[in-house]
Amino acid sequence: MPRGLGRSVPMSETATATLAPAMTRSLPLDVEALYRACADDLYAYARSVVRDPAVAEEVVATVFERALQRRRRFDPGRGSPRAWIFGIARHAAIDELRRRGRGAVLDHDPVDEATPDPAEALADREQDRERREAVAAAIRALPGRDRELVALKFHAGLSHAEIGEVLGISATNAGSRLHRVIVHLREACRVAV
Amino acid sequence: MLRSESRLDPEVVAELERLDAVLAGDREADPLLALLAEDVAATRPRLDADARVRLEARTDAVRVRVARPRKAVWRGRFERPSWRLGLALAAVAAVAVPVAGGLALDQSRDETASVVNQSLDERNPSQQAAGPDASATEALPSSGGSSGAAQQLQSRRTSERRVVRDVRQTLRVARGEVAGATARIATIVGDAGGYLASSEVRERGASAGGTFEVVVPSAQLDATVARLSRVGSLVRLERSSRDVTDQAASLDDRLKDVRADRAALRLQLARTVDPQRRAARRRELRVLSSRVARLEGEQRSLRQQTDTTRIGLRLTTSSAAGAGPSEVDDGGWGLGQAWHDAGRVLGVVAGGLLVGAAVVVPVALVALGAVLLRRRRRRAAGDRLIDGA
Repeated sequence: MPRGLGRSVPMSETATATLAPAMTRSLPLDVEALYRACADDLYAYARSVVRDPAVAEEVVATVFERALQRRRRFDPGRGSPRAWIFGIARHAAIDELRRRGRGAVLDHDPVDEATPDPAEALADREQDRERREAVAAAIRALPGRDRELVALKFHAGLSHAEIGEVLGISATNAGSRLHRVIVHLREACRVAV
Repeated sequence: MLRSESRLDPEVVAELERLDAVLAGDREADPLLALLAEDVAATRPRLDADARVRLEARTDAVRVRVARPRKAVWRGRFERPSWRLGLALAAVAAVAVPVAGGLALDQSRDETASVVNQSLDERNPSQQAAGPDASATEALPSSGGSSGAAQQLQSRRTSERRVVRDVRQTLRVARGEVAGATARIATIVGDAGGYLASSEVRERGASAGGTFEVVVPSAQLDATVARLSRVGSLVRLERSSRDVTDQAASLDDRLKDVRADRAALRLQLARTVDPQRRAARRRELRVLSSRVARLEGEQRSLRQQTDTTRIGLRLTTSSAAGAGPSEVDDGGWGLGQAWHDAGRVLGVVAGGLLVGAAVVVPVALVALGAVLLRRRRRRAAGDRLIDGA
């Protein structure tokens, strides 16, 4: 079930509704629990950035390893655990892109047929379908940094401050950029409608 | 993040707040935004079952690999060349700093260290061979300039050095023992055949002590110094010497020459009949005689300097002003001196650290700037990579 549909939605399909205390701002950090709670969100983010599913899978695996190795370096005073692990994910994605020498650009984003998109079941109107396709196309056309903004906000559910920590910018700057992306996507919606 | 926090437009803030509300489940906050959120959520990439299994396998492998024992982790770290180099440098510093501190301490000690019963290496070999009286004044050869006398003089020059010696000695006595020490000093000097050239004694008060100028025959110098050292605790002993053998030999030669000239002039005077020439001879004779007298005076003075030695003796009491640890050193090493030594070492270390900091801090600032610049460039490069993906 996608986010923001009028019910309490877990952060990921494999997580409980709220993080355990060890994953909040107290130490020691339970990396395994944090990872399990964020794994799907991490994949969604990684996939949004690198596009290639195999590369995204590699990124997620790397995130777990690095988070496990660096768990003692987590400083709750500098940010939330989720921002911390998504920061690791960003660097892992960059490293993977650098290692492969180029962005993994797909001609199309294959549909995950193993797990039917629940939204499709609700989209009973052609208009909704066209609008949704327009939004998807607009997202695909976004520059990489804007796509990761969308992933961090809509898929991972990070706050503006947490997004700023991940991207290394201020919360204000993150909000400003997110606003621009929303305006762009809204325009895409409007055009489609 | 060092950027200044600029304020967002209120409309932007309001829309972002509505977005947060929508994502939290409040569709009524902004129905259009809620629709957009649904559309975006529909594009969310999802992990398929196979991918999930693969990830699980990889995380299991990572878990085992990362969960190495801490000892193995540290052992692995120690095997790295960088760690070994760091440990080696730390070991070198741990040895070098105390050694440097000790050397600095020894050097400062040498400047004020006491030397008890210094060796007699300063005594010239001829004196040692001939006995204590070897430095006594000897008769100079008569004028005549025979080759035999010259050779005799030459051999005397090489075998008997003339040395002017000077000794400074500081002794520490108890406050009530100044008078007794003064009496013992007078006795020792008298026994050695010397005399007190000057003395100043303060028997009472905070600055109780005394200063003495002692003159003893050079032959009795070592024995006198040793006996004086036992009057109190020897605090300081300084010896200096100046070899004036060449100066004495030159003086002797000049005196011999002038005497020879005077003797020859006397013969000429005896043979001269002419009154005017006799007067001229007499005038020349007077000049030569005054030179002889002057040179004989210099000779006597030099002889006195080498035949006797002046000892500058200072008596100090244990609570005398200015008698700090650097002066009062009886050869022992107690807690106070340990503190002093430790303070000196720490002072050396602190000085070294200060100098090091003066070098390291600017370098560190430059390195920090380079690191920050590199970090910024890496971030920009990462952004470009993501944009290009």
